[in-house]
Amino acid sequence: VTAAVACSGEAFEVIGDPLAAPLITIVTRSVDGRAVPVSDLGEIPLVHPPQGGKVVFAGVRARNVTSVLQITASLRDEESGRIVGHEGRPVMLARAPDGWGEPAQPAELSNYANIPACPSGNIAIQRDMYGRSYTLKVRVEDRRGRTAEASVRVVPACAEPAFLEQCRCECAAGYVLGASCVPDGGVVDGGP
Amino acid sequence: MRALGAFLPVTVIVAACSSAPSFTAWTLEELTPAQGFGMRTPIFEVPAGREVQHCYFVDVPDLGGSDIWIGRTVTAINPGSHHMNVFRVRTIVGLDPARGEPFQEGSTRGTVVRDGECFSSANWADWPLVANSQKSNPLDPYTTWKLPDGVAHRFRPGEKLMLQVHYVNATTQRTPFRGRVGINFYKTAEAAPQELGTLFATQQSIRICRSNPTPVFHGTCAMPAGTFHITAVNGHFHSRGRRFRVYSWDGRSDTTPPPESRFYESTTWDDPPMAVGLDVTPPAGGGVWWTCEFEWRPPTVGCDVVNAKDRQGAGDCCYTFGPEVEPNEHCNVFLYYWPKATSDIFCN
Repeated sequence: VTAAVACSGEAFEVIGDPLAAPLITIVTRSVDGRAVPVSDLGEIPLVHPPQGGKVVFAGVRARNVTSVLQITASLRDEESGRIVGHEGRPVMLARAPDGWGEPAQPAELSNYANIPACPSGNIAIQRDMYGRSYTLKVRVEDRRGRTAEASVRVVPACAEPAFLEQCRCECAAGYVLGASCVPDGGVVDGGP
Repeated sequence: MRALGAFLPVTVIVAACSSAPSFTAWTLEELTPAQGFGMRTPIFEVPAGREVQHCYFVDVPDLGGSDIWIGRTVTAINPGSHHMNVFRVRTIVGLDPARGEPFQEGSTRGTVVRDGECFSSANWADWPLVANSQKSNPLDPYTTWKLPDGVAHRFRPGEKLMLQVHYVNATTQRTPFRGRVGINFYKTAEAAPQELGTLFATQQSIRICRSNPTPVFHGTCAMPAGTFHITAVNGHFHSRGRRFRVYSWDGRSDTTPPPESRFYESTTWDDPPMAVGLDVTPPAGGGVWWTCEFEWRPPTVGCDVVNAKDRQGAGDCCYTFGPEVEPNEHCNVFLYYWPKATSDIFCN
């Protein structure tokens, strides 16, 4: 273990071999708050975050990197080539028993890139955000400036039981901001 | 109303009072139906050590049966305001105009929800932005914003609007007088204007922690297909915010756009510039990219208050996403463009 404190006052350690090339695999946050691997053409949940809308969470398991990383993640529409959502932020990893770093608090949203998906993505490309494949690309840069990236094709899916109908409405191709998507909890339209 | 700590030192309160500049109450003209319509809040107290957020719900008046096209707005804001935002009310999630108290100020009638659900961010997901201001200047409380020639806001008679006002009278921001906000919407004389569209974007789940003191967050907002002209923008963060930048983005690159693509920068968190009169045209299929740079510093309310709001329980004195100025942080974009796309835009 190599511990360090950057000039900024930030504390971090190196997970793995500090001289070896960084390695990453992409994970997402499951609906029940676990960091789970993302497989090629596997489903990735569209999740209702506190601010509303639906996001896709992208994180990493990583090795030979610092425990604090800057992560950037994007979701690209394969048909048009457009990026429908992109986000970057610092995340923290904790050493797992197998020697890899994984999201320090896997249930917490701040441990992942929060990629905006709905209602922005579907409005932008006029396609459903669910049930279609998109390319999820993740890039990390550690505190020593070392980088790694990985991509995987994913199929976003409305997966939270409490927001299923709202998600399918809010993430649909023809959705217009402010249109009534009565959530499963029972909500009325306050519009004119 | 939210308390920001157990108490504030008496010296701080005295200093706030003794250093307060003089202030002449603002006035806005009362508009005739031929001119447009206005919204006024009552005068309200903002006690020392507190921040208040009120949500005023008002119906757009019927000025003759047809849609109302607005080409100019004038806001007037007592100093101490953290922000005022106007949204169109859509899906009700907690914040419910029907549960507000009736209020009347001049010809403005409606209901008001004070604090409580008015602080909840879950309501904005499908409430299109109309207008906003973060001005807090005792020497000049007015902001006049004329839309580009041939461009106008469109309102339907009976449409419900929500005017949200946030005042802070604490350490990082002070309200030397009482809170009060007004806005006038002036009709355009143009026969067939193009409709203004709005874009509201916010970065969620942000953290600014003692152990990671200079975090940078960035996000993108893709716009629908077509050619759009960005005419105004402002960024919003709290006192840990150091630099807010917004760029035109091609919609395909996943690295920060080149410097020449930047069209907004703010290094002033409590009175950020509102860039108007722009004519930025993102590439077709593109949108905007924004970056918020923060710098942690010891909280004026103490780490215990900040830690209590950290649902991760990290004990790292982390400022987390939220509306309260002292213990929370934001990274929000308010942007105005034309012609309006098939929908207003919200990027979460």
